Amino acid sequence: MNSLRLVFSQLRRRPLQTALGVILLGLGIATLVFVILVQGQLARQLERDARNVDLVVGAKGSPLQLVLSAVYQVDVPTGNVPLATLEQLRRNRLVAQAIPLSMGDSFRGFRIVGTERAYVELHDAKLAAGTLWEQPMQAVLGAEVARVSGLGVGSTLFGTHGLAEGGAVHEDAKYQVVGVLAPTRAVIDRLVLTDVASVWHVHEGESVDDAEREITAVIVRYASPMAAAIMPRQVNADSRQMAASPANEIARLFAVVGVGIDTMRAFAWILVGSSLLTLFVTLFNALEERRYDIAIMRLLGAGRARIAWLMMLEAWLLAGMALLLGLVVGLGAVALVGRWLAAARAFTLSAAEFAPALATTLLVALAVATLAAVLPAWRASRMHVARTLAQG
Amino acid sequence: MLSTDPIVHRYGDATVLRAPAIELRDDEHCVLTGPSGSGKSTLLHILAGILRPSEGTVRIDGDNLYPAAGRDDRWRGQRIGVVPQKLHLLASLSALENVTLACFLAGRAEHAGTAAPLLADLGLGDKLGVRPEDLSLGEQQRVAIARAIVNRPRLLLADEPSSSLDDDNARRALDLLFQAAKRAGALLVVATHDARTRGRFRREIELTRPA
Repeated sequence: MNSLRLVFSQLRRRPLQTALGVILLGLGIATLVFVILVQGQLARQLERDARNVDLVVGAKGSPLQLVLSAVYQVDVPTGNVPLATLEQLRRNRLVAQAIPLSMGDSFRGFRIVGTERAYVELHDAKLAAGTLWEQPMQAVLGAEVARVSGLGVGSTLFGTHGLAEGGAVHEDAKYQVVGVLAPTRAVIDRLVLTDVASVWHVHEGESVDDAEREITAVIVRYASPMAAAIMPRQVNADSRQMAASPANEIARLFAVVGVGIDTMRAFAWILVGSSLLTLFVTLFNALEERRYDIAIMRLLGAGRARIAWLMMLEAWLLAGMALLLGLVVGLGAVALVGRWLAAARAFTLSAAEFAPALATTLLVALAVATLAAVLPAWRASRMHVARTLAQG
Repeated sequence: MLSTDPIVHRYGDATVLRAPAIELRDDEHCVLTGPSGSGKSTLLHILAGILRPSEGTVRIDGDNLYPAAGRDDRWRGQRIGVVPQKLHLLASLSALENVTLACFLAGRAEHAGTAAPLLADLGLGDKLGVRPEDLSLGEQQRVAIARAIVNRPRLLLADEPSSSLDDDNARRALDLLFQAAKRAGALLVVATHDARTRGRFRREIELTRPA
């Protein structure tokens, strides 16, 4: 006999109330886990993908769309800009680096992006195998692309027209895989990279003059902080093109998405709050049901502190079970949504990075249990033994 | 072994108990009698150490049961065994666990090993894992007796152990209590209004309703 077995045996006596308390708190914790992981990973990923990108220049349209398409590779591009735009930007003294992006084709839902080798350096990506491309129609696979397709150095792949899966296959878009990148957990994992000239080769043929060539967007790094005030206006002066700052657009996006996340967070706290009430009522009822048990335990030699401790232990045990349930359900939901996102070739969301949620949920469970049990425990410890026994 | 001053207990203005001084040696098993309302249960609670009397005190082997600073609950649990009238076994625990609970709570874990043989001696060897709700009343009473003596107390108290039983079972219950007291080396004090039991005790303390 020990405290734990004693408390367990008493929990078993009322499985319904026990289950209700555990499930309510468990769902609250699960929702918290989900919100914490999604928000944390989304914010981190958005930040990581946009690292080193000060400005995106592309065709006129929605600035958010431009950022989503060029930086995060999730939306469709706004259109094309002349290749001359790139040259202009490179001549600008406020620009430290300008990298072209050319999009339009995909491979099994992964985008084929024509760019320069600087794009790989921008993302701090390292080669896991092979080399970077040396000439058009050579391709380097992001880690996720290589994993899903099973292709490696020496394989060939055909691009399909359009960014979605199921487009028409370009018979002449045959790429030679020359390298595979190591995982970065950033956007580059989901891309097939090639020389910007490959895209011209596929879409326009060799005959086209440089003056008529187009690219989809240019990623710009500023040479000085002053550029942030001047560059966008300079770019926007040309009516065919537009500048968008990832930082600004993502802040705007979060202002919208944030409402959803806040709603979910509020929902989580409502669940946690109601579970606190349920636990409190459960323990208070238990106190009434068990007043003879408590009186007998006092009679047998249990002190006030021990009685209070047993009540707290009961609450902590319930919270422990709820925590386990909440983590399993919450991480399960994250893993599920993560798989769904991966299938859509969008952001990566991983249940494996659950550490940030652990401390919070542990604290919540502990606090709920302690708050719910403090009053019942105190009442139990103050019970008048002789009067209780005299009653029955 | 057990000695008390004249004891008075009051609830508010109402005096509920007026008992003479008691002086009992180890084997002077004693019965507390008196009409209902004379305070038998109250005196038993006072002797059990769970009700501080308004006047007077209780000593076990010379140790004051109610010192000003209070007694550690374990100290009481180790020295006094009680068989309450309504037994109050814990419904969530088996017969054996109800007995070992007493060892655990009194800080006498070393006695837990004797619980099973003790229950077997009381005829419950095949009921160790059974919960109280599946035991007969007589079996429940034996579990309660085992629980009261497993820590080998100095004082064994029983409240109306035979009043709800027929003649045979009442005699048997009392036999068990005497055997239990002997086995534990404890002084037995029984509160009862059951006239059938009075003749078997060496000492009798008769309480009257306080004026």
